[in-house]
Amino acid sequence: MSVDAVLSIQGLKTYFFTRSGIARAVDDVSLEVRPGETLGIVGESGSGKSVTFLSVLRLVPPPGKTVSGEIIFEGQDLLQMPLQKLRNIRGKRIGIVFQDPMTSLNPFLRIGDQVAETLLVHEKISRNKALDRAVGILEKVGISDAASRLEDYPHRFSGGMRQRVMIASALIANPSLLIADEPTTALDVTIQAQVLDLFTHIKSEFSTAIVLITHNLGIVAGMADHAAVMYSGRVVEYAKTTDLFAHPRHPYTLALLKTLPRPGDMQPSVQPIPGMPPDLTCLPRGCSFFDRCAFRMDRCLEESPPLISFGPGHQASCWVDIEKGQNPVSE
Amino acid sequence: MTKFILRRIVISIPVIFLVATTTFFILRLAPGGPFLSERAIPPEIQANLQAKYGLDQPLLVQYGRYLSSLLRLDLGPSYKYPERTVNDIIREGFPVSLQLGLAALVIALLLGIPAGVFAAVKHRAVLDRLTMSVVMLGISLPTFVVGPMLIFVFSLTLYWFPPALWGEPSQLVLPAITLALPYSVYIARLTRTEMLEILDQDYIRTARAKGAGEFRVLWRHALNGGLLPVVSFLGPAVADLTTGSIVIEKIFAIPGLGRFFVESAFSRDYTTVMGTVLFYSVLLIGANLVVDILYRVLDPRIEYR
Repeated sequence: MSVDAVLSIQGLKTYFFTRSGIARAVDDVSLEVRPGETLGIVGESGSGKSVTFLSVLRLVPPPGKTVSGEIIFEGQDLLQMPLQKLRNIRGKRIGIVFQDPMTSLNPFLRIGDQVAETLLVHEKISRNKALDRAVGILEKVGISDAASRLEDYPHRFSGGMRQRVMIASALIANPSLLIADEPTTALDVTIQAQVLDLFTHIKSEFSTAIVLITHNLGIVAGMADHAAVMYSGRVVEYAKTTDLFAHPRHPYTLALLKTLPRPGDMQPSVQPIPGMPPDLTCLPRGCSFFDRCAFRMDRCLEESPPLISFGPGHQASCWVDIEKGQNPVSE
Repeated sequence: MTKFILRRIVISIPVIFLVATTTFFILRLAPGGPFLSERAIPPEIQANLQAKYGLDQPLLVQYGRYLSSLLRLDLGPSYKYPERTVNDIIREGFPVSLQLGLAALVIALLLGIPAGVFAAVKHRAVLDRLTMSVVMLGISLPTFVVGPMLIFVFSLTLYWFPPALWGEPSQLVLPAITLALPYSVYIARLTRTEMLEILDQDYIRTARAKGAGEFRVLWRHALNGGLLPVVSFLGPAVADLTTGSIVIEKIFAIPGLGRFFVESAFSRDYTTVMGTVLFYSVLLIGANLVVDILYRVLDPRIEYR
């Protein structure tokens, strides 16, 4: 791992201690984000992608708990520092945009105050100055005539507008890392496109490193420099986005790609992945994708594969070299 | 907003009319009358009294007269206290009960809201359980136990406050606390339940993600929504608190309004019963209107048309 990473996650384990057992939501995840790059995190619901990055800001709700690992951000371990110090990083150095803009804004507070709050919490600044800067950032994220909308409450905004407000409040303090947790999932398709355009614009204008969490491979393809695929709490593949799409090395990634309809196909050839993700409270000893894998072999049942290098900057946790065309298991 | 208030006032007129009518006829259905007492009164005097107050007239005539005096805001003479009108009774008793009630309200809010917030923050921890146990104790103790206990401790033992009577500010303290206690307990429970709900909301997580400290999260982000149920409880609570309580008035010898509600019913003092009931209804309607306006202030999503 390189030293210059903005964020470096090492061996992160975040478990949920539920009545029905310990759910290993994040199980030994290591990732890094370099300055200015966009890292896409892909995975289905429950794969641990959101919890990983909630762990970064220590916002995992109980009964979830980060049990081990290191999260080095700008040279400091966020997991070790006192909460008081971490608060100086939340919002100021790391901004986060949540999935559902309908519930993530406080319905009782004015938009202007909610955007300006990030500044008021971190800087010695008057409310009026903070509101002035809120106008600036709101206009940058595409809210026209922002000055006249500061006094409005969130219920007067549409979903897309609210997500812009969320993004504005995450960006206003000029963080070096922006975490976007499924920022478009709760939005209409046309609004999704607009919000994604906004992220592209943010990339070029703010030079902020972005972590884009999504279950949409198309978004990763269009936005991310690197991509990590997560499955049952683990990173199963990490590569440059172009490599990932051209040469997927993990059967799960391959299967995910096959779920995408290809433009030009006369007949839609979408292939769903059979089976269900495993129960996180009782993961198998071997590979957790075993049951659904088209390339499985006996070894996979016994030993969980570590991340294996498949070329420069390309890692996947699979015993099988799927490109060499080992016979897929037919069922 | 003005339109909303005006409309609410107009709507409340038929409500008040209905209350007046119902109390009038229900009272007449009850056996007995204002001038029947254990001591036999000569029938001539009885008849004279009935005639003096128009009780010898047909019921509908009496009802019509009552309504027409109501329109002049005249609640009529009291049958039990011949030298006073019902208006007098309310004019004398209400300011006392109002002061006591408002003091109790302030105490109830100052005790209840912080206790509820505290219990919510310490959810499932020992301190939450402890706070809620104290609260349960408060619910279980009736005022006629708490009142004498407070008198015993703070007047007769510590000599901090006078045990009874009315007039000095220091005489307000013990009865106001006694009156406030069950309300503060209820407010604490309402606040705790709603705060627990709100602290789980996504926007609380957003506030924390911006770097807000727990104090800011609680008092700026959570409390506003957490108080909504308390506010709606305040409507009936204010009407109850400010019209007095016979138990408190008896214990602390306070000349409030509360005892008239009970005593006038026993003595079939028709006009006083109807007067106090109407007065209570108007207060309740007014308090609920204020609550609805407060709601609008607290929750911007509500708009009144």
